[in-house]
Amino acid sequence: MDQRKNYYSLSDGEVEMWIEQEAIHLKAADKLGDPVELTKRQALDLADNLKQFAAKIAD
Amino acid sequence: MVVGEPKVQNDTTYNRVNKNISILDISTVATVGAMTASALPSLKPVAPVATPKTKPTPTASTAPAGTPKGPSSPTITADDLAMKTRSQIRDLAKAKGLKPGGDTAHPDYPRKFNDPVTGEERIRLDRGHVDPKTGKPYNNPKAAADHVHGYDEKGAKIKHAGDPHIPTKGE
Repeated sequence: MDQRKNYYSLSDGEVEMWIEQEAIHLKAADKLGDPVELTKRQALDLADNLKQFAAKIAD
Repeated sequence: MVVGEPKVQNDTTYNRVNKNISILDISTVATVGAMTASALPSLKPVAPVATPKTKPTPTASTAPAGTPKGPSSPTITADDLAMKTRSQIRDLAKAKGLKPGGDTAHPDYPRKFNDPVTGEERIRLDRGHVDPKTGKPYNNPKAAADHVHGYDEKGAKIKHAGDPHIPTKGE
């Protein structure tokens, strides 16, 4: 398990998100470079975490 | 750790905020309680009201033998789905007790099937994907052709030969 703080991953690591230098970094691609397919539940979870990460960044 | 489950490792603002709210709620209740007690000194003690005890709802593990069981999350394997026709997969979904979901106006309806207990998506029949930006098929040939996705009871992807795009075989 990745121990980095402020790090989030989804769908076997195909979606990754973290905070670096006061910006959110988001990667989403499968191992062949194709888009990642998310279920509704996964999409809502990603959205919820994206909002939480955004709230941590000062204006 | 469950494969495919979302993972979060952070000191979330959400948790800190909620903790503060909890503390505020407790102190608020204590303050209001003290004010109420001082404002109403003549109130007489009231005998406690007996609360009827409710029986716990039987579960699959606690229900006595012979009790009809409710729906349970079915097990779905990659072999259940691989190289089946779309009609066969629809029949399988019905036999497993999954509930059809998704857009009823979609020409392929039903193509999504949800868990009867959790309501989460368990099977989705996809046509081959094309990148809308380039107009070209996806790099993964299994994603570029018609396929099916399966998800286990916990929402993790079911994989066939290491790939979540499970090939189907005709209509």
